[in-house]
Amino acid sequence: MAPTLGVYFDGFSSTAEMLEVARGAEAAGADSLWFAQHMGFREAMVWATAAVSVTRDIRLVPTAISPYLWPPLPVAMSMATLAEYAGPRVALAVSVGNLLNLSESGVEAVKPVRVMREYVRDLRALWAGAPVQADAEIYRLRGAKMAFGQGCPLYVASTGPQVLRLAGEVGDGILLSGALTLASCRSMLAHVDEGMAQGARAPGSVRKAGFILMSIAEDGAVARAEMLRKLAFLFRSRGHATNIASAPDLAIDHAAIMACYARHDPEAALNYLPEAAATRFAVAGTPGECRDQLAAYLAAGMDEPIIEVTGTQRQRHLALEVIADVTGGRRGA
Amino acid sequence: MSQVARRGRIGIRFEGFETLEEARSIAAAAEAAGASSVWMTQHLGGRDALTLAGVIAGATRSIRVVPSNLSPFIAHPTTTAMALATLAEGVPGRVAASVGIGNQLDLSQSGIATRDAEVAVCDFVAALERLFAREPVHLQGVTFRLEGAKLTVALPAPVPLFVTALQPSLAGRAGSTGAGLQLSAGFFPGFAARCVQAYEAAALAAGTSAAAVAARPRAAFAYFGTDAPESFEGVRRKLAYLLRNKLMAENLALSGLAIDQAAIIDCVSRRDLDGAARRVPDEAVEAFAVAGSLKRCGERAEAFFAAGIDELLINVGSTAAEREAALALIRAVNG
Repeated sequence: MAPTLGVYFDGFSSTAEMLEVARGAEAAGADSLWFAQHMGFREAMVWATAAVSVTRDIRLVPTAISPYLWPPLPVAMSMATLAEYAGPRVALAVSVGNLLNLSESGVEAVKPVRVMREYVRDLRALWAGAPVQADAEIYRLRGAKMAFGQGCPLYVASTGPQVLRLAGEVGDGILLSGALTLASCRSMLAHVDEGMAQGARAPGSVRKAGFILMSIAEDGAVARAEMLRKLAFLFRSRGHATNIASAPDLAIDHAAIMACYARHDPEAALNYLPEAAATRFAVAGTPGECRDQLAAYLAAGMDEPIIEVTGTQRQRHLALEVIADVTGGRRGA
Repeated sequence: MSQVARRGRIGIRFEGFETLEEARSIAAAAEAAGASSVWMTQHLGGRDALTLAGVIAGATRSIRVVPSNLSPFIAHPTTTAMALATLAEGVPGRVAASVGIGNQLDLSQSGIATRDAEVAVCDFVAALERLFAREPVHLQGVTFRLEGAKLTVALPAPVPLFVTALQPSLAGRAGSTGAGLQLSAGFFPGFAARCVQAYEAAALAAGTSAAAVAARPRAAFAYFGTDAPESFEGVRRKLAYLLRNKLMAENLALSGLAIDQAAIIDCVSRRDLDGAARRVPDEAVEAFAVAGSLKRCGERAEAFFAAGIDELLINVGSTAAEREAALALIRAVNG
């Protein structure tokens, strides 16, 4: 059986481009569309709603909704509305969120493990339709009740061990961030397995999804250079320290990269990333190279690898061709 | 200023309890009939107004969609600005929004107390306006704190903002912001006029020119019904529930009708909606709603326009006959 492959959107491209890629991804055989919420960029629920009208049955997943900015009742309402519109092909991914972006909106991510546990619990309780009472860490529910609708599967997104264990214990699925080495992926999935064991979850009952950064071009060097820029941006975060340390042979000076971004000099940060980083933390190269590298991620234990389809129109076309190759293009054009 | 009748138009509104199939069908029919806009009120527990706006935008061609009564007590300005900007990018020039306190009972069920509510609404509007400018925003509001939050998505066209007001006091505060005015349902036209006057006076006091004040939009919700007995009764029951709100006292008094609000409140508190409805006379249905024959509904709409309202937003009803009558009214008024 051909593996599944999803496509994610980071919210940085236009709505028109997203709709074009969504349509193309479904035709190429992709299994799911993930709409990642980045603060200040396109809103995930609105994009998922827009994608309904250009697709037939591909799964739609607003992603990394943070309890610190979205109270449970409005999220339950949004997802139930989306489910009524799209049918049973929707899911939701929740996560703590980006700490820097949260702080810019005046929010401090206190007690994340407890908060995530309560959020998952209360979203499900609201979708069950009865009045909900809860004294949660960051909100209270005093009889809040949904007047309609149904729920959907819940993924918990994280890279931290504690929340990953929680995800394995209570999630319908887990979602890993992008820019991870294969070693990091395996390590994180092991935390998920620990949580599953703790929650006495049956093997296979928790879907394991992960974003995989991908840069594709007919000239592999161009694709790798573009990927290094993405990685440099992501590695400005201290949170990637363990992940970067998982590739010691590359001798990446993480502190130097963070310092470059601290002084708003992203070009300088590129000096600290060897070209090999593009294929250790992501998938980058020619279509053939990308297919080979994707196969390695597929073998790392993910049920649902999720790639990006970005760049020029030609690059997006190449990426869709890779999807069709990997999945067998089973949805047809 | 508000004494001059404005050329009014009729739009429709959803309350979030219609199925999406119904809502899409009604919105498409309303657009074909010439409705000016589609508003979708955020009722906690019902369909999400922003998501519904996206659904309706996809089911129509050019009509404006307006998620309304977005409450600062349960929404965050950054995420709201993102959602509105994303909607606007998909359907440029067709998106507006209104910000209101929200239903206090519903908010209390989410553990939220609405302190400094009118200030909170205006803070939220200010935050949205500044986020729409795509600069990092530093702003302390009653319900939020922005410390450099920035909207990156560019608005392809302005997203007009309204303040949802239930009282002249909030209408006045709205006038001092750049927002338009949107009045809740169940208002007597004389009370709507009082709110409009408060809005205009505050706008003028804030230094807005008379011409600019006159150009600002003012919308009002109204319950709609036909002269069929069951439709008229349906409006009566909705009004009975609405009039339980103590903030409606001034509205009731201005109508000059003898309505025992205390008795209505008592009935509703005992969940005796039949009893509450019996305390709403026919004259009150005619005064506080747009109900009756097509001619009568047209007259009631004109009364709101004479009060300074330029867009009246009616709920289209739950039966085929009510929907046909609502569409007929839209065609008759909007031309």
